[in-house]
Amino acid sequence: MRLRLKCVLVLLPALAGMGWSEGTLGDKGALGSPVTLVAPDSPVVKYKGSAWLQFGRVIHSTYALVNGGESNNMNGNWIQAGGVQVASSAKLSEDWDGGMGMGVLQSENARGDVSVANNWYPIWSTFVSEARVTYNAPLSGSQKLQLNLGFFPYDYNPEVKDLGLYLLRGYIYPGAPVSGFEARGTTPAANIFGSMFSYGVGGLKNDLLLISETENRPYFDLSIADLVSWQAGPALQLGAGVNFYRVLPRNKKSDSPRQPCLNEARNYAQIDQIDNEVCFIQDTVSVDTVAQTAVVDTIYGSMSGTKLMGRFRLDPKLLFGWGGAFGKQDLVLYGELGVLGLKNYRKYYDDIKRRMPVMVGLNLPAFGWLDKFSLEVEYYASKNFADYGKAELDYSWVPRPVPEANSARDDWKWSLYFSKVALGHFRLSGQVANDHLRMFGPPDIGFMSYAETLGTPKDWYWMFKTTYFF
Amino acid sequence: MIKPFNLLAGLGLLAFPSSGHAVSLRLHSKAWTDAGQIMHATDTLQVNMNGNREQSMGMQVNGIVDLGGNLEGGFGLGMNQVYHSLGDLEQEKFTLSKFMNYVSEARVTYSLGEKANPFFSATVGDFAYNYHPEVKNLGLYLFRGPVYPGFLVSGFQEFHTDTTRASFLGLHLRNALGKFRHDLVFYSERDLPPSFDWSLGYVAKYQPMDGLEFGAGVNFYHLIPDDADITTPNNRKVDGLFAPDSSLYAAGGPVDPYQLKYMEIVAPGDTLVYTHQGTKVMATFDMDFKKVFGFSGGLGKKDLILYGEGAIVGVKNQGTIYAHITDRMPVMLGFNLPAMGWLDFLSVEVERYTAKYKADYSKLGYDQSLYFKNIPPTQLAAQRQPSAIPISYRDLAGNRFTITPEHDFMNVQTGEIIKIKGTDLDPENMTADDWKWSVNAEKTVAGHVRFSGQIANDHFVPRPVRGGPINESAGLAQVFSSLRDWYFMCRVGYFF
Repeated sequence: MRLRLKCVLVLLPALAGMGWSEGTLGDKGALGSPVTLVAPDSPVVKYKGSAWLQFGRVIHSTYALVNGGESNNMNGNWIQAGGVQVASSAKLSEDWDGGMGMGVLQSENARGDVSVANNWYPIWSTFVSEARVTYNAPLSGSQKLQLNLGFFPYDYNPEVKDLGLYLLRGYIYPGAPVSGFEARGTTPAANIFGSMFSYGVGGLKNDLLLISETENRPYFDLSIADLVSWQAGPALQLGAGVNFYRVLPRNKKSDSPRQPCLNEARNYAQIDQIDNEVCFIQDTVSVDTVAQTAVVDTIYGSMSGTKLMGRFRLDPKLLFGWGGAFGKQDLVLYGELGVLGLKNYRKYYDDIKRRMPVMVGLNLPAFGWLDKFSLEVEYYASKNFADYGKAELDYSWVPRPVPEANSARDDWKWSLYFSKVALGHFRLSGQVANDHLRMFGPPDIGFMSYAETLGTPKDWYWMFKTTYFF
Repeated sequence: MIKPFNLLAGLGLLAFPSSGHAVSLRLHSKAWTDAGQIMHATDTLQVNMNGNREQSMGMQVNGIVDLGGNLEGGFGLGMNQVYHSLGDLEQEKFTLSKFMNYVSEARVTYSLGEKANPFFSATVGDFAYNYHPEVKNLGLYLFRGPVYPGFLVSGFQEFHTDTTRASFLGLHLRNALGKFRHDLVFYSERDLPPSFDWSLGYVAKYQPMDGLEFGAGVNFYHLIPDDADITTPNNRKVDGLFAPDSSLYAAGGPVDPYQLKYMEIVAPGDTLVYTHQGTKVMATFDMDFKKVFGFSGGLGKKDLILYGEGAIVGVKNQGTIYAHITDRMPVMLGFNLPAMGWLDFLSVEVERYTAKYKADYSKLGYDQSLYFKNIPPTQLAAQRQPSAIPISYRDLAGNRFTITPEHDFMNVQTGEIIKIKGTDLDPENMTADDWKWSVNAEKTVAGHVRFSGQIANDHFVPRPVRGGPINESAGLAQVFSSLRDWYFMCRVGYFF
């Protein structure tokens, strides 16, 4: 007991929120004295924490070589990370509550090619996982009104395990669906810096969000999104949304470049020939074969744009009254459609159908053996190479041309995912997928590999994770 | 192997052996998110922060341990998630979020008398101390910032200016005798070079009547140097330390004193070595008009309080640069406007400080400090030891721009024309920021949720920019240098 209490006290500074705001820890203190945790002026505080280890391997990656050269060859690369997170929520009054949390993540750069295997290091990152205040208005009947301020989690489609969530993840120009194993947006970690005003009545709910961009550069642009969901019946839920992405840019010159502009990729130099489409697209309109001259049109655009989303969730068990040994999540069919930008731009964004990712997921029957066991499939017909380095480092709304790659071969993505909670606090999860995985480049590259690792139907990887939580 | 017991001992929590009594622990936490924008920054010599948005979030957890009898321990930690300053369009493309973890408190306090208002208390460890709680932004001159050069410190509740965070490492003695109380603080310098020197500060406060309080204090800054040859440089340990300064004189031309690093020839045969040691003195007053004149009505608790602070940042003149004591005398006045209960307070603070040099920490060697970790040493930094001489525009300029004949325009190589009052050829007039101001407001709802905001032209030092894939730059200078400059910040958070 004595050792236990010492450990608890040592850990307390690290537990922004762990444990207890009041109550008795044990019958003996650090040196034999009773220790009582008291907080007479404190609100009711609940603490939670988790720790995890995840690992996996990229089994095949066709186009790794065009992303930064030989060093970036991800074939056979082991992926590994571990982390700890502690958080607390406080009931501050009848109407107000708050949440805070922090964590530490230990991750490693990808090893890259075997020829650079001598260059490797781990990374420890601390992070704020949540910092919010929430106001719940006391309304009558089935009405609910909530205001969230700060840094808070928001997931409009909790059914998604990997593919989807198009409305709030990723760029529009270049269109960039985001996914990965338990990637941001699919976990309870905070993902919105800004505010959310929610109003619900009966089965209808509307969420209005003001979002400061903190995921993709340029940072701190403001987006305004509105999402509606409707519980049409016990078995069917429908949802739709619009995201006026970067509608309030911090610097319009960043998002919508005009002349003068160098129009060269200066910060994201890959193995390509010189990329001379950064600020604007240069489209060859006609060629005079006699004079050997070309008429080139200059097309200006913007990283700002409008996203749309529609989704559904259907539980046939409830619809048809199936019972038996099915688990609660079994047989749920769900899907989502996104439109990544309403406006066409010639050459790279000339067909809106190629900016419309669509996914369908099915929770396979697990009969209680697993909590979640789902298969997701996505179709996204964009013919642009899936690399967002130019957007991140050169603020370019134009995709990176990669003649070496056949960008038409990644239209289909898929993911098979499972999770199981045992003993109430221990969770296993895993995934086999060909999704939009992006990895930290090897130290040789020095920064995030902004290109997707998996570019053809032959590519896939697997991941496995153990977590305990309370 | 480090055992938990040893860690606790290090925190001071187990400074005394067991007495068998009950030990209680009280946890306090706070979490917040910040957002704001620099609306105008005249000085774009190093980095252009015009229009830069500022955004961060953080949390802090503190524990107070009643160790029984007269002993109390405090510990805590905090975490800030911040972003690089954006800088210009090219620099912002490398912006990253960063994390700063810190110890917010690690102390043990022995007190005599009533617990809430002890007759005597002694605190040792890492502790917070704020001698003038009425200050919202400007002021607190006695313990914030160096003496030579006399940089003032202020800003919106960020790491350097958060008075709730422990910022003193050492010993604090307090004695209260009725309406009189006084504090003695003996602390180690761990933020600004020369580091690990010990300073001794004393503050006395007297309340002649309810609603009126006067205070005065002195700080013998760097009183006990860790290494006297760093605090007051000489050639004994670093051969050739003065050589660059000597070379300037040997060249025979006029010498701009701001180009010097350590010494100045003030007269033939009379060489002055600039020291970091110095003495600050200050005086404060707080007057609550409500109590003094018996106002009541719908006024809030903080309404109609007038407060002020004046200081001398270095009582002793040094060389050409610190020749006028009047240029080392900041004075501020603040007033809590009537908020009638709608806000906790709404205050206006104004400050005047006539120091003419640019407030840039580069020559102090501040490039690897607590806050800024990846700024590579540049030609701006003191190459070998911290310098008590502020930088000149020539330090900043390098070969990047030339000075126009008008002497108040500089032509940056990129073609951008910038206008700054004064040049390094006019070192007495390097800035036009004698006046600073700050408007602050705060509102607490439900007892634990707090909204606060600030509009100001103060001494804010923005975080560094990341001008490339690896290194950071800037982040060492105050961003506002003229009356046209200002920014706003707001914060939402909760605490208990």
